[in-house]
Amino acid sequence: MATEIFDGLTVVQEAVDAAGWRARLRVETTSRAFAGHFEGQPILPGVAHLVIVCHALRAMGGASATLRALPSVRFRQVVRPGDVLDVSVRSPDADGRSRFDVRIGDTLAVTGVAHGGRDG
Amino acid sequence: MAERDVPEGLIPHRGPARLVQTVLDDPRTDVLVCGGRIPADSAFAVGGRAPAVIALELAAQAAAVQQALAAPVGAAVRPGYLVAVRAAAFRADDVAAAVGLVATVRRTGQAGPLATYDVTVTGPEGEEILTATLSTHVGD
Repeated sequence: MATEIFDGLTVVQEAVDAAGWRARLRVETTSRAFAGHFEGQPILPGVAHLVIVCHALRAMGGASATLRALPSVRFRQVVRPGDVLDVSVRSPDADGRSRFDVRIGDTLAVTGVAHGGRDG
Repeated sequence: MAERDVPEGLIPHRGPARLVQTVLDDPRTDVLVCGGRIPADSAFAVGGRAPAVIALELAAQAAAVQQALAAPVGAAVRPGYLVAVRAAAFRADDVAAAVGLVATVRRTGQAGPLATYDVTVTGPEGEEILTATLSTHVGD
């Protein structure tokens, strides 16, 4: 599987089951997400992780699934060109909340809770 | 509402990463209002639209502008890192690229390099796109 979630983000592995969505993603050094952010010190904008979560919600809930709320997100570690991310977005709990995390190797980069909904 | 361009070097974002464009005059003293847009060549825009979460970046850059304007004249430009988002609510799924947006930010707390802001982003017709509380950390 080789879909792009945003420019220069390669899906190396992706799986969806009852537990949720998991993926290994590679942020290519050529990604335009690094352009101008920042010169000489490129790091991935934090919102890029949230675009990945939006993709995961659609992968779990179908094309009409969408992000409605982020009760909490913590960005703990910067992501640099070439980093490989292991992302886990759990299936919604009874309140519709999905916990997610992003790791770089053993390092926790992002944690949070997302609340999905439907278009319209 | 009068507006003025955000000086090029005020914040470190450049090119397609630069969403904030102008500072809009506002009578409120505790808020900063900025105009901006998601560039059409953004890495996150597909078919002329981007997920609404990208508007959080505009709000974060508006917060960085407020921080920079409050800094001593001549202070070095330092990157500000988004470290937390709380209570974010999205009223739209996506937003059009290259269309004017407005970010309103109000600093609600500051402790050294850490600052917290309540933010709102609205669309070209004044419609609310998102509200959130952001925390940023100014790096070295």
